[in-house]
Amino acid sequence: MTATFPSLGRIAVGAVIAAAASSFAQSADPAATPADASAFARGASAWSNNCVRCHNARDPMDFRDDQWKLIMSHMRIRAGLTGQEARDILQFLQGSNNGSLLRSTAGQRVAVGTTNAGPSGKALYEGTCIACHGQDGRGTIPGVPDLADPKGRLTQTDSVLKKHILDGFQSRGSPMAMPPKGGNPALSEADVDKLLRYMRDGFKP
Amino acid sequence: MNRPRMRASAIAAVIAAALPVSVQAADDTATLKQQIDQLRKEVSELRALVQGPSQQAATKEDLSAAKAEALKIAAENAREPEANSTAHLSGYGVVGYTDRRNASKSFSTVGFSPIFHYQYKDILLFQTELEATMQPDGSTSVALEYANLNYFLSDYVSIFGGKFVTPIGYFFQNLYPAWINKFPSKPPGFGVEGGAAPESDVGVGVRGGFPIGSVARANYAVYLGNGPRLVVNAGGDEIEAVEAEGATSNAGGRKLVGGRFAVLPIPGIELGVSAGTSRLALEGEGRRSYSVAGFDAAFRRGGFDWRAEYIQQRVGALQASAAPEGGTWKTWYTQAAYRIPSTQWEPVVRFGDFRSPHPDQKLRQWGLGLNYWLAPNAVGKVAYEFNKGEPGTINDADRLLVQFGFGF
Repeated sequence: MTATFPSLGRIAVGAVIAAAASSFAQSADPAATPADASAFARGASAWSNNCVRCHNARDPMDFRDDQWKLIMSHMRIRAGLTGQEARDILQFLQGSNNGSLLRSTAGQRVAVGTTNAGPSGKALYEGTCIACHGQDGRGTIPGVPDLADPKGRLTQTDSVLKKHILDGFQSRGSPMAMPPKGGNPALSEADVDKLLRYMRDGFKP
Repeated sequence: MNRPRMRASAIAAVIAAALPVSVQAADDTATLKQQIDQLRKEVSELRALVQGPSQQAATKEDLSAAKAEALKIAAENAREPEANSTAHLSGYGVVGYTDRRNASKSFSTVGFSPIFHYQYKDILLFQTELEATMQPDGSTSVALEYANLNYFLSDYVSIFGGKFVTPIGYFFQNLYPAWINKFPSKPPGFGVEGGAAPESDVGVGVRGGFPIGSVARANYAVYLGNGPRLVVNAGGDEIEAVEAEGATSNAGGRKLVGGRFAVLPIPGIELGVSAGTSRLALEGEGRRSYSVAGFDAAFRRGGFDWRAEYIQQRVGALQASAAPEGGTWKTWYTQAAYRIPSTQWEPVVRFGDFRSPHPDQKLRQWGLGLNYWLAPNAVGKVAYEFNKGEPGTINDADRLLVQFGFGF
């Protein structure tokens, strides 16, 4: 065993150097650009996939932007996240924790809200809702309602669901409230209409 | 000076004296004109305001949009400016009650574990955790759970040094805080002393994660540490246990090389292997072999959470030692929990089996529990352990546990 230690040490050091060298090379990947427009959607997905590996997903409203920044650095270490994953999740959390900002735009009835232009319902769902509600609408984290349940949420009227989406909603038994507009301040009234159509068509039992 | 020249000078003086008056008059006129224009503009706006109903609705919409925009700008401006250095205090706390059959019944657990983070830009993170716990005699023990500096070398590599929770195995690295652990107690064999799993070490290492294709991911950690210490019995002739806590001493003089590699083929599944090797020694004696190896698996879907972990530590024999025999400490556990939809209730079941060279340390356990989540970070737990150990030992007594854990 005495002879094996130096060998293992050399292997470990070699692995570190190789990993560091390859990582420098990969850092130039354009996908690593912090200003990536899809970072919010990627962050929402990474948040729902990684946090619950060990514990309940924390409500973005639990902490301020500066606190989330430190917490995400801590979690990057603990969960073995890549730097890009950590930045994406941070972008999602920081974009979803400003209740006053989201609420301030929730009641807006702007002209664009009456048009059919812009992204499809599927694209909107995958960019805003999929992190918690899942691809099939059955929910990815404990407490999120099953949208495919024939007696579930989608039995409610469009106006009720629309209000819940725009203003936010606390489901019974859910560890966190759905933030206004699902945490996406860019969501317009017309987008919500498209989302509802997509969910009603896609999650039929 | 002749007369005509004197006259010309006099005229020039009069004009010069009169000129400022003329400029002043021109300025007043311009100001007056501006004021009249402003008044005309305001009258025009007032006239627009008192006109027809369609114009009035448009103004309300404009005001609504302007209000939303103002709130948006105010909210954005209210955010704290980013500084190079930031610090944060978090942590967790726990209180608990234990009713052990034919033994003590008491409020047995009071603990507070503050965690301090300091970050410099996006490159350095210092993190430390203290654990303050009440002791049976009323005193308080304070332990340094970890204190380490991390340098983010790149998106895929971080270098760390200090005291750290060992990445060998999974439970100690990620699941031990009371608000995360779904059971009020640790699995058998995951104790501070006499267990099968190392808890912490002192040294340096690298860790990180990387994608494998578009869906799968991997994470890793490799480190050099002082390694564990051996604990001998009262007579000094047997290796009683392998100390789980890391220390700044290294009687064997050789570093432990160890780590963990895990793959997440799809979200919700994680498979990890851990290993480490070193040579340990009792004070003043020669070295003996030491190895640790483990495997862990986790599966999660919706409200269902399942995990299992196996880990063992093997200490070699050394004939020249006062405690010549070695031994193997090994344990495994499996746990399943299910969050009942639309409720805060979560039943949990756990089985664990810890084997040791010493019969009085062995423990085979079934546990049933029920959790109530007040919040994602606050949980009340009640559980019952069916324990099977060597007859007459404390491990052979069943326990009722009640606990409240919260993270902040």
